[in-house]
Amino acid sequence: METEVLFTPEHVRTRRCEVSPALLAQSPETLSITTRRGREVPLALAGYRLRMGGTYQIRVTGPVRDIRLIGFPRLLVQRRGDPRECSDDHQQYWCLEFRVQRAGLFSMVTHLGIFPEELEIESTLLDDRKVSVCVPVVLELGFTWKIVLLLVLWAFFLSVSELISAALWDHRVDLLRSPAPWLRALLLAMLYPVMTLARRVYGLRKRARELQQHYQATWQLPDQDAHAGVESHCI
Amino acid sequence: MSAAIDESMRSILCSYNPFDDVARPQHADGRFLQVHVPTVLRGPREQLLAAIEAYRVRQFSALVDLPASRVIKVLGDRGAGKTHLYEAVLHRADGAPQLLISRETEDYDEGMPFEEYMFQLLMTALNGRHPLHGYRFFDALSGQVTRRLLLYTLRELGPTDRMFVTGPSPWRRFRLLWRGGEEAGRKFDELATELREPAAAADVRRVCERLQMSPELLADLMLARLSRLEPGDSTQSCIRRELYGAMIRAVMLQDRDALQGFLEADYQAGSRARVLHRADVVRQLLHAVREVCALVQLPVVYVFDNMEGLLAPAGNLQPRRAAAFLEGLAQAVDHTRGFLFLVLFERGLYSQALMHAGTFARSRLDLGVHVPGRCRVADVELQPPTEGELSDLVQGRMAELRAQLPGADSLPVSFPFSLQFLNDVGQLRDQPIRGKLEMLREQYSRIVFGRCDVAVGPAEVVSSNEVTGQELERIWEDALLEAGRSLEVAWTDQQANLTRGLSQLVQLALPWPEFLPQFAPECQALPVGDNPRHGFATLLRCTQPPTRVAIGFLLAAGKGMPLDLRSKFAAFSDEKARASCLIVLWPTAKSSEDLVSALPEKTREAWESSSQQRSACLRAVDQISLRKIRALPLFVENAHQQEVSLSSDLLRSFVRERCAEVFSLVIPPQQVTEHGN
Repeated sequence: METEVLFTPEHVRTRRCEVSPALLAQSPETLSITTRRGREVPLALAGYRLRMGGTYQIRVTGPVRDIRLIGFPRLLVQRRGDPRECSDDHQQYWCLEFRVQRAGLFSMVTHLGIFPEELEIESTLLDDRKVSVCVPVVLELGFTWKIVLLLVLWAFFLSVSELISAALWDHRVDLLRSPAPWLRALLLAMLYPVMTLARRVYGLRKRARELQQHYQATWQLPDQDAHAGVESHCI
Repeated sequence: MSAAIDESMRSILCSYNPFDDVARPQHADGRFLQVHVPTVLRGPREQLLAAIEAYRVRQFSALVDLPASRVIKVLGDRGAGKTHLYEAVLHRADGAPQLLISRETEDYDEGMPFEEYMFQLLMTALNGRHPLHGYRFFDALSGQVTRRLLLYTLRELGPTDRMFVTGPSPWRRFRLLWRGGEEAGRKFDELATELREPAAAADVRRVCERLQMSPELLADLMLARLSRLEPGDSTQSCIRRELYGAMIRAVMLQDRDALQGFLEADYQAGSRARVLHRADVVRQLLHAVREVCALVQLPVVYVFDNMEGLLAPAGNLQPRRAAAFLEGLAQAVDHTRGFLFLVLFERGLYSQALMHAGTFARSRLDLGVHVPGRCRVADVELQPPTEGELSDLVQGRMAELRAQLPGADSLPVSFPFSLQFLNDVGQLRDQPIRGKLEMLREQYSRIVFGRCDVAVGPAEVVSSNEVTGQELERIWEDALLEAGRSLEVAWTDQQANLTRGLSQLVQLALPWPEFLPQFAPECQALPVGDNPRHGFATLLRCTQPPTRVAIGFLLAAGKGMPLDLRSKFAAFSDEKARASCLIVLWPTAKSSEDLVSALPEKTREAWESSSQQRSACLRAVDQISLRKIRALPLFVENAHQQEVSLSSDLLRSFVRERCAEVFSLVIPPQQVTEHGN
């Protein structure tokens, strides 16, 4: 039988007896998302609220050598340029720019303009360790665009319904003169923003609940009765 | 012979003899700074400080960043200033933090693994107070580590996590669905900014309270992070979790017994992966504590002073003890990282001790420390002071008196001695510093007091060259006081000392009167089982009736109590002990007939499950007996250190008389024989 050399994977070759990870930083000092001009982005329970079509910056401070955006929704977020080291008010930070793109029409209609997502940013610290941080974000359609979309949908709906009605009922024009189709169309048009609002509240609450569960799993002790069972001792 | 002394000066000079202090006591007396002259022994001191600095780790991310453990031997004749040098290092002028762990002679037992001994000394030092600043080392370490852990916790909390931490009200929650989370985050950022400065470690809890953050809540967050990053039930993870958790609780919850909880945790129960030997657990405990010390740039130095007391307690070198100590030291050099050992040896004693050490130990002892910018430091030789150093010594010791003298500036530097006298004394090459100081003292007395203080009346001369009962009584009282103090500070830490004290006590009192059970003279204090914290027992071999009696102390409190009890029962299965009967001494004020029923619930369950089909009895021990047992090794050591001989009969009768009530505790139940019948 032929023998072969034992292959040692690259990642275990330089293994050192590490110190406790609890004593080491597992994140950069600060990480925030700002607009291109450095203004704060609204932060909600579901994450940073980013407008579709907007350009934003990820700002990272601390002993960092490099940053990378490694996890993001490919269809909605586009990286712009390489990360660079900037300075503002004597403060050094790493900056990475990205743009939130508009979703396709179908996607917008089905999601009603709200996309809860997550951005994963990896930072290489000065000691060559790589740490990653996930930042929850909500990608939203801007209000102006929603109105436009609403009008388009309304008009689209009206014309199609007119055509269909004309074809089916042999040019019965009186139907078009009747207020009923108009009222129906108006009702539908009114329903859209209400639905959007309801859906948005629902979507944000759902996402907030998910994040809360994640918080509880990450930051709450599994065993809360750690002090139970203490026995007394006396002399 | 002397500089002229004006009569107006004499009254000032007569106030005291500045050269009276010729030897430093083993235990600090608070007078060091008054007698210390920095120029004397400067070279050796700087060498040692440089070596200690080499153990201050600036960058620590892996075990290999810690320098290897090494030994430096400080060699000098008797009176060469070894203890003074140690104190000078302790009182270093730059005030840089360092953990100097000095041994207590009575602690060392050649039967105990050296790393266990190291761990015990380390824990005692952490529990003790800084000799100058008075803070508890563990508190200082905890503050610094907790600050770092809290800072990392705050930074790792995500933007939305920060809102959930505070648990917002329903209305605020609805508002937060849209925006407003930045405000919640700002408080955390402020706290993180405050904690960036290491000085914040002094009072982390107060910083949190000032920013209206609940310390309890933050402690929970830190503990959760700890369990996430140190998961699993491996011994190393358990030890780290317990240690950092204890530090967090000590700082954030002001739990004074947190260190105790860390020491009493059972690190073997959680380890399902493999069964760990007691030595492995101790090694990992040592490493975990060393890791924390490295994190705050704290060099850990073991100082073994008064080696005569350790290796030659009765005046002659004990070969077995010397070999065990040096071999243990060599093993520690091989198996640990980051510790520096300073061994202060009398030159002759070192040569003698080295003859009993094997080549393994010799080669490790000579490795030395590589000090950056200097050569390797393995030995530091203490030389007698030169003329220049002697002149500095005189100036230093006289400084306080000179300041009060009129026209002090015009006085010669050698005042009140003549320059010739100082030169003559300085040229005595074979005279160590203590001898020269004695000469200065005598000369000062002659010049200033006119010899009046050195005359000794005939009534003060001790006629006998033996220690008297009265003298023993004084030493016993001192030992009792010392024992009382050590039991007050942390009496649950005294397992090994009490076990050793008990074996020594029984051994000293033998042979017993005929109506009592007869014990063989070889009583041993043994480590039993795999628990390094509680696993100690005194083993007595009863000849009539033939029984092997193990005696242990149930000292732990709280959750550690059942564990402590179970480790005593290991004496039945331990290879070395093979006990047929176990006596557990429980320090309690309860006077109930049935002590078992007075045990806390879980401890009682442990007793009932362990004592089935085994001969075991639980006895109450009062605090006075406990103090006596703890005092005995101190007493014996101090009694042997007297410069006159000590009769063993006198010692035996003294111990029998003083510790009569202790003997009733060690008498085995009559029905048990060596075969367990």
